[in-house]
Amino acid sequence: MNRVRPWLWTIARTLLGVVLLMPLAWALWASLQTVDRIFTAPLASAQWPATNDGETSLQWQNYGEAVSRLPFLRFLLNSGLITTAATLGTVFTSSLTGFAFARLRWRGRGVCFVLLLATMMLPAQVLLVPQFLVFEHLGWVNTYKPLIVPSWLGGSAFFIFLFRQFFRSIPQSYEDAARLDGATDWQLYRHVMLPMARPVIGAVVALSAVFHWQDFINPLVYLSDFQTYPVSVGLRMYQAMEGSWPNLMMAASLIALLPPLVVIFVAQRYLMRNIGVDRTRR
Amino acid sequence: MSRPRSPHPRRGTSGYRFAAPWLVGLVLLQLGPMIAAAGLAMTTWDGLSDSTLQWVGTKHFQGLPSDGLFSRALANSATYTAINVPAQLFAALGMALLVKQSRRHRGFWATLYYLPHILGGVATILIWWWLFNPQVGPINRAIGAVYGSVDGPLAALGLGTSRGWSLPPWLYSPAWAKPSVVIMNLWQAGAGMLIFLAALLRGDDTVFEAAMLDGAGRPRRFWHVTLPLISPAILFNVVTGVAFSMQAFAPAFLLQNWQQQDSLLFYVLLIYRSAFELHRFGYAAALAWVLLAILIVFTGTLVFLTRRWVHYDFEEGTL
Repeated sequence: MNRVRPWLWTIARTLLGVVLLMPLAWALWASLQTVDRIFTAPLASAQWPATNDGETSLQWQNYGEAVSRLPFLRFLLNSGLITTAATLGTVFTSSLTGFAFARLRWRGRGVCFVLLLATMMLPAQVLLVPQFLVFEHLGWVNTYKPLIVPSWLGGSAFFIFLFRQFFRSIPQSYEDAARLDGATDWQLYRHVMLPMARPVIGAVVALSAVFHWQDFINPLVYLSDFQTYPVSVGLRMYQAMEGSWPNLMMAASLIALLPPLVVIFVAQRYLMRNIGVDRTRR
Repeated sequence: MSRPRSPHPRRGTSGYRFAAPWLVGLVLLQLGPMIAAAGLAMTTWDGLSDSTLQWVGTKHFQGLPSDGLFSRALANSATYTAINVPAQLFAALGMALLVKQSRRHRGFWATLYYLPHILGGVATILIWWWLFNPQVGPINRAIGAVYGSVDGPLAALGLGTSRGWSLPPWLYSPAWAKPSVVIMNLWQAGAGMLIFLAALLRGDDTVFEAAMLDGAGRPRRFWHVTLPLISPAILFNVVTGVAFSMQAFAPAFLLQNWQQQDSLLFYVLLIYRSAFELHRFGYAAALAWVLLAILIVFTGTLVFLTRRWVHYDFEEGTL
């Protein structure tokens, strides 16, 4: 009885995995077909080995066409710029704040921590309209500042909380030793705490980078010149302009998914370690 | 060292300096705008020139009960949330239990199931837009193929339906539009799974073994060991799930069409349209405050009602 069960579980897990990968597999298949074949080819007859009879061979040129129909490389570059700048700010300022909450004593820390938890629950979209008015007043509309500057002002409450929890878990003896050597608060943060926080930094970099890469509503609200669009808003133009070209749209979508895919594969051990999944493998 | 330092500085100003970026952001980007929005909700303003700013008191709030668009959007978001959150919860818990059963490859399975969530965004919504296409999309073509293959044998047995089978119109009908978005979200239930998985793995295996030795079967172990263990994770997933579903924007914005007859007019889409398409900033601010109040009241009530049932075990370094 107990010998059979693991096999059943494995089969169930594999089936679910296959189902979850199917939309991506279809997108990949569709991105390599002519439009006609997407609509007419039997689903099970994907022609993977390229044959040379034109219609049924894999249309690799779709990717080139998808990139050149719109300034898609420009969109990718814009997204890369916003994502990098915002992620750097998030890691820097959320770790600083987490450190202040975890290891420094200051008047009002308790109140501020309650505020931090409250803003963690505060819905972001509720602030959309009032924040827009702030940035409009500053003359920042149609620039990247509204997309980047908030990340340099603490980033997200959740990441601050992650850093705080980690810094609190570091034994007091490390701090005592550094203090006895005359370390300042900054040196304690920079040379003792931060180097130990690599797993948290890895997780925060990954989550923040993916979030900013995927962010849609903020660039949609703040940017109106299409040359400045990031990939997320640029893809929307594909939907509007190329609705009848599913192969090109799938090709463009898959290109846009590539960076998050790379990030999750590089960072998955950090993400999994933080929730204890990797505990068994040590 | 010219100046001796105490190893434990009691209180200082250093904390403010380290937290300064966040404190500035808190005041300028969160608390300030929130309070300003409350004032703005009492005005009519097109967001463009100050001369159009006019104080109208609570007019926007008083008008909401008889506002057809407001009640439509609120009902849409509430219905969607009521289907989406339980669906997500069961899918995420199922995934987490499946992953937990794997002893050697948990990292692999967790990453695989989490992958669709991390890939979420405009690109995947556009992929699903085509998957759901009623005429040529692969989902309906697969369903059609199944219908086609069972139709013949059923008809031979005299069980054929006279009216024929109909394929779901998915995003192109008022009734199917919301379920379509829920199905798309199920694909991304991996985020909730990670929360459940973390909670499940926090429980020592000895707890389960002890329950097993006491003769507790699988259902009883689930009710009396697993469920209390993950109760904080359930509460967390419900609270964040409701907040996210009530704030859903991108799917509604990207998947809307006229055939749905406004059934994907979600609340935040109404806020977006009011502010950035119709330039009714005062009205939009009033809508935002109503949503905020709803979420605060909901979360507060939920946490209060479940305080006896949820077993908090806040250890250092755990969520």
